[in-house]
Amino acid sequence: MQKSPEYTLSNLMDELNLIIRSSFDQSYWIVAELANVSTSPRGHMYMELVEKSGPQIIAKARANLWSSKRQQIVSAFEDITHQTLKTGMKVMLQVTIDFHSVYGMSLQIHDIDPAYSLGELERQRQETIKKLEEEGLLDFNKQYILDHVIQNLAIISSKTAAGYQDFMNQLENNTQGYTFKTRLYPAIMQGEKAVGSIIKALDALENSKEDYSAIVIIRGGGSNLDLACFDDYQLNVRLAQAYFPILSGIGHERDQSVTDMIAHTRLKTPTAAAEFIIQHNQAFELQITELFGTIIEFVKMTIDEQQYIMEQSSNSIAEKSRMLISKEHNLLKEFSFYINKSAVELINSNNLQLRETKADLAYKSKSHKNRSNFQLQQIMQELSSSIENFKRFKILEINNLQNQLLSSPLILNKQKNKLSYIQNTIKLSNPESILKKGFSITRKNGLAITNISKLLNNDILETQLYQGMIKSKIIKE
Amino acid sequence: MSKKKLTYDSALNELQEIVNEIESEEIGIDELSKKVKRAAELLKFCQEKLHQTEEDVNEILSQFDEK
Repeated sequence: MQKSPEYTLSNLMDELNLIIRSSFDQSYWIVAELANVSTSPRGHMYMELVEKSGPQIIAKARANLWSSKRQQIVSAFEDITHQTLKTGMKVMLQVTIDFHSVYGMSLQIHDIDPAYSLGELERQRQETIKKLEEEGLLDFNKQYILDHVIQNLAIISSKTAAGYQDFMNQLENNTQGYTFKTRLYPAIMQGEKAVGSIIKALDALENSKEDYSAIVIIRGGGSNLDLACFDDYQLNVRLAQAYFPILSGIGHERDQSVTDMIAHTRLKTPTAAAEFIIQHNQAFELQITELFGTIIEFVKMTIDEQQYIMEQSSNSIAEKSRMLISKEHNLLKEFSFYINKSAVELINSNNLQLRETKADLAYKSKSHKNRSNFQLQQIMQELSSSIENFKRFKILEINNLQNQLLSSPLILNKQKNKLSYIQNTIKLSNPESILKKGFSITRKNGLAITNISKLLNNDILETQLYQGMIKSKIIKE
Repeated sequence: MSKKKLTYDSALNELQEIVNEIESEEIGIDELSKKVKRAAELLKFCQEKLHQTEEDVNEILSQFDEK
């Protein structure tokens, strides 16, 4: 069976348009993510609105923002959020549904709620901060200890950026005359490409093998828009773990970005960053100057102290030595005085004794003489009386002898008798007369034997008789 | 005396000992002149060293000031 057409395409599209317009005749507030945002030369904005469930797109629609409304809506949005409308942004928009027979269905944007985006951005930002914190990256870069002197600097910025010029001017024209070695790693500092570009610059910097004191991140300055890149999770993960301490000089009025938070030191403006570096170096210079001053002071004090000790020692030795010597002098003087005194005393006392002895001697010799004289007289008297006695005795004796002499004939007779008696006695004692009487003398070897004990066996004995001799031999029985 | 090279500190210590000995009057006259002579030597050594040090320091400081 052949069918007849009920509608032309345009009839159908018109019908559809009618139904859509009547069914969705008001505006709706919806939440969607922006994609493929573009602006036409005539000032219209075209984009896609998508809704994702995880990575999966579950709804998608084209949307237009006509130039007539764009100015007002976009500037209000940018004023409040400091963001431009761009891909990936989650927004709340007021839309009406439009249907076109040629272009199909699209959504007309009538308003965008900046408050929602602000909240959403903040939520994302907080989420990023929380994640970084959980990963320990929020304070990771702060663990670096800045060099005492910051001199070799890596700069991530855009060469044409006003902020970079400000930074370099401030750094190079410092009144202290410090010199710096800087190297710029150029990067796009705002917009969608900023994250990738900054990460690339960081890679180049770290691959350079240069030993930098710090990385200074300087944003272009000017517009407050498009700072969202510095809240980006990936960028901050990378920055937090950079090889060197990060000094942020992003420069914006609103609350600090996440990069400011993970940075080693956050400075409000590029100029402030330069000023910080100069002051840091100045503080070190001041510190070493002070230390040097302390050393000088200490050295001078030590020298003074030692000089004082020398003086004291020298004085003390001089004084004490003189004292010791004078003490010994005094001692010697005292000794000498005592010796003198004692000597004099000794002499005096000896003199006295001598005098006494002399006197004594005189007295004693006199009395001795007297006594001797007396004794002598006595002895002489005794002698003369003895002589007298002796004389008398001798006279007496002579007289006696005279008397005896007178009686001597009588004595002669007496002596004559005595002699004749002795003569007789001798006669009787002669051995011849004894042998005559029959006695004999026995001899051994000519010696008379008076005792038998002297005799031995076979001894030859001679026995003398008055007349003749007998020889005999002893025979033991 | 030991043959060790005399340093300021060792000289100062020895000097201090001598001062102490003399001050406490432990020293006899026999030793006194010997000790005082030694003390004078040590003093001279210390003072020269100190003087030298002071001059060195001043020179270093003046160099520093010129910069």
